[in-house]
Amino acid sequence: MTAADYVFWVFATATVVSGAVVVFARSLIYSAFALLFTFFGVAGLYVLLGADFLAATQLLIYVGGILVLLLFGVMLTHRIYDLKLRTEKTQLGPGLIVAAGIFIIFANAALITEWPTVGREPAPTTKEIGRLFLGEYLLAFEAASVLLLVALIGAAMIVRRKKDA
Amino acid sequence: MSGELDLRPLVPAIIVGVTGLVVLLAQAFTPKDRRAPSAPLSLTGLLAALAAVWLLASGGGRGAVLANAVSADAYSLFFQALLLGIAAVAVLLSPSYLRANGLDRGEYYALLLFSVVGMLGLVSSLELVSMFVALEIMSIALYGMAGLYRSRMESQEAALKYFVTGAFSSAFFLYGVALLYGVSGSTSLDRLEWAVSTLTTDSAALALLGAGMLLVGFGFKIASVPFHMWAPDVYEGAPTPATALMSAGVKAAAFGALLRVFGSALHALAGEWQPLVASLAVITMVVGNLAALAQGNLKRMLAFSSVAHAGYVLTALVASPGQAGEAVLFYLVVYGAVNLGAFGTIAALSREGREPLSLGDVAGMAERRPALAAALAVFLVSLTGIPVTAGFVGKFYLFNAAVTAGWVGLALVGVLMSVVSAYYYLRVVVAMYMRDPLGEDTWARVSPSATVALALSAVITLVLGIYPAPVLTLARIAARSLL
Amino acid sequence: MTPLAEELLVTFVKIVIVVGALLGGFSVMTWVERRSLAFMQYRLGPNRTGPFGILQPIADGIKLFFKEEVMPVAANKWTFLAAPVVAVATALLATAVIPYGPPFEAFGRTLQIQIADIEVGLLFIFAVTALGVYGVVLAGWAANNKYSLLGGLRSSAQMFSYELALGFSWVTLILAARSFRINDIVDTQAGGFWHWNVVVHFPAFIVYFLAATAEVARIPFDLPEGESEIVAGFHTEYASMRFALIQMAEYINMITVTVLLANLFFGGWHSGVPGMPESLGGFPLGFVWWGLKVAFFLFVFIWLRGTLPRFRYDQLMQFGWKVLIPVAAVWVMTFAVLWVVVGGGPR
Repeated sequence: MTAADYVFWVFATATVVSGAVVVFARSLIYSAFALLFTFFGVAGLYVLLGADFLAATQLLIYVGGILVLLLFGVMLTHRIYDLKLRTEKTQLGPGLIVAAGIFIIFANAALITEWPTVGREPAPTTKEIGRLFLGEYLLAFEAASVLLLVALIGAAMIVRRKKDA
Repeated sequence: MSGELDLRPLVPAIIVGVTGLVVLLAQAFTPKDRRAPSAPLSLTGLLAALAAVWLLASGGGRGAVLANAVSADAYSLFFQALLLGIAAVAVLLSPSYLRANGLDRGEYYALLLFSVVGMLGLVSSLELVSMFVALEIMSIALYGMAGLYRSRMESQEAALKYFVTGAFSSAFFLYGVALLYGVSGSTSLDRLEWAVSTLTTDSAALALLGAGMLLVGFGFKIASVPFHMWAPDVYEGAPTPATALMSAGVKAAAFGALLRVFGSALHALAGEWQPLVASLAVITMVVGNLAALAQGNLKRMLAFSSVAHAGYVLTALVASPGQAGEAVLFYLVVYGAVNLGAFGTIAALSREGREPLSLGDVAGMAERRPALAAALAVFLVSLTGIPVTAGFVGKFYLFNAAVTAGWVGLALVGVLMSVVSAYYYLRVVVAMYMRDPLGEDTWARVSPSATVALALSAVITLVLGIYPAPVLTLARIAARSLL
Repeated sequence: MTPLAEELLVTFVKIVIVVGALLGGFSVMTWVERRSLAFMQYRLGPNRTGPFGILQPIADGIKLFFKEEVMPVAANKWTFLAAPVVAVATALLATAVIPYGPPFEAFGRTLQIQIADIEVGLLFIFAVTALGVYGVVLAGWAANNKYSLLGGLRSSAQMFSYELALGFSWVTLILAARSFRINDIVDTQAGGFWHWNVVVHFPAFIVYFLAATAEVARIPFDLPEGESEIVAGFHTEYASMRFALIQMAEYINMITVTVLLANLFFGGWHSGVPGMPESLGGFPLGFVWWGLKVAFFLFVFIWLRGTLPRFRYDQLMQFGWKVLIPVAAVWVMTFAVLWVVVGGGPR
């Protein structure tokens, strides 16, 4: 194994293990903390793939934005952090079978597929991403601003104080 | 890229979006003691966009522009006209309902218009990322609309449920997009079509998984079983005009995109996904209709009926794209008019936070409100699919498509389930015409704008039942541009 | 030595230098700040320990080290312990991609005091400053004290709000340099001082300066520690070395934004005088210019503290959202248009 392989396994393990903690932790706050490591693990994997822009964006948006929002929600909600979230009826058996089945199908498909590859070393991606945003994906890029505006309006409408409604 | 920045195919969507902004600003700059002219503005914008669609269509449509991301081909234009029409009727239904329930705010119209922007984008994108963004614009605006009625538990539940299941389904959709990108190295439908048609058997597995994920994502939006659980609660909790838009508009837009992706880009895999779609259609029809039987609440009954109708539409997808397209497009027009009418009748009677939701509420309506009862009867009979109504013609083409493709059993299930559905639709008609009214008539007088909306829906329903040829021809032309 | 081992060694040495300098800088800054403030207020300040009181930071350190470690009974133990560490770690993380001084020739290779010269430098800094919120949120929540929680919320809301303006102020620099790399941005400012970004991107500079001051919670934006309202904010319950760690994180952040200020807007290690020699007797003069700029702006932060009163919280939020961000956004658009119409525009 090369050094990169070791690093891959470190990040992959971190991602999967902390992801499991997110799902199985008994208290919501620990799930939120574990999610931090999941996000970091994924960012690490992006770096390994040479996707530097994506990795930095992942940190910025998921760790620096979304997760902080989650933590805010957890911390500010009265007594939510002691809350036991798991339901009585977990249906562990059927769940496991379905999950395992889906995993086998996907893993199998991933293994037998002849993936189209570029066949060159990873290069800095920032410029290329910028070019795609303003070229091939211009429409999606611009439409995303409408999307954000809609989300803002919707959020503002839902949280508005009752007396102005 | 530079030099060919042709925005013409986007003009209808841009008009609607700008109208949304104008409505917001008008609300902000209207003095507190006055009412902002949100509904007239919205209606004007939608009609202007409709005119733009007309101009584009008479100009022969437009090919793909913006790096093949969007097109104004006949297929897009057909759907855009349909969606704009649906939205205009929903706007006509809204003012009286919102006033009756103390919800009259400009944001509602802005969100409505933005959701229409999303729908327009959804049916005209030729590229999966743009399609996803459009899908999200539509969905997020609708989450907000579902939660508009904040003082009601049901509305909050609706917004939350819709949001959570919607986000869940978006994940499926995105995963599908990612897998298909893995197959083709591109998100453009053209390239995808080419890549899928040249696949080796090994890579086909990946493409199929991607297609499956996309199908799940669309399944949530069209509310097909087993992805329908949100529909009854959301339809019940949302403000009724918003429900009308959801049931008619979202379904049409989602089917528009679904048909474009599966009927043309993934057509090479049809042998693999068609059985899947067929089984989805069967369980959707069976579960939707049986569940609708058990509903006492009219809105929930119509919600399950909308689930069932997703199943009917799915049956046609097993046919060749041209034939399926024609049948689906025609049916979506019929379904849009009928559903707007049915939900619209409920909305139009709403008064002081109440609306007629039980059979008792509509009992004897034929005596007191003969015209309204007649209209609702037309809508319900059409939903059942009794001959000489639009619903019959629509279902005939859907099932005919399935039979032509050799799926006779599928069509039989559809016919059988239509018979079952007669029970719960006609139960309402019976209550209106055969039972005596209970108590006083406390419902609202139908406002002029709602009258226009309901009359329009009823006339379209009747005309399509008797003389469907022009719309069928248009549907055929539109479907042909899909090939 | 194999190239890999050599690379690792060089990086290790750089890390030692940068972290060492930052920790040293932190202690010196506390002394400088106290002395300068004292002079501004007609006092003497700490002048007993060593000549001019220069050994005061060491005395402070010893004192803090031997103080009792207090932990509130109701605190969430692990989070309470982790929060100061998180604060320092995120603060140090941002320093990894900043160049400290010019590249220079030594040991037969071109070196620069910069741990990692990554392609997306500014984006990385933006991302990890966003992580700075964690130390604050965790510290505020873990102590289980209402003042801490309120302080934590205030601080994080402030950091969020001003981070946007901070990031916005960089956009035009990135546009002009066509790169996220800090070294590239510094190099666009070579030559006369009229090439400095502070001249070319003056509105961006104003936005950056104000947002950076708010981001590191210095007066007049030090609401998180508004002692008359919420005691000491998120670190109310912290004492001894844990308190020292939080202080350290704050000073490191301040040094970071100052170094960035010098690098991004004031030409970094470029003298700003055309024809100035690159080095004198083999010593790269860039270090001098760079050092002077950084020292001056560190002093400006102290100066502000001695001069200005504190904002009210609602004013702070209003200012951030309704003034700074719109100004920054309008400047981005203005610059983009000017750049295409007047200047070279995108290639």
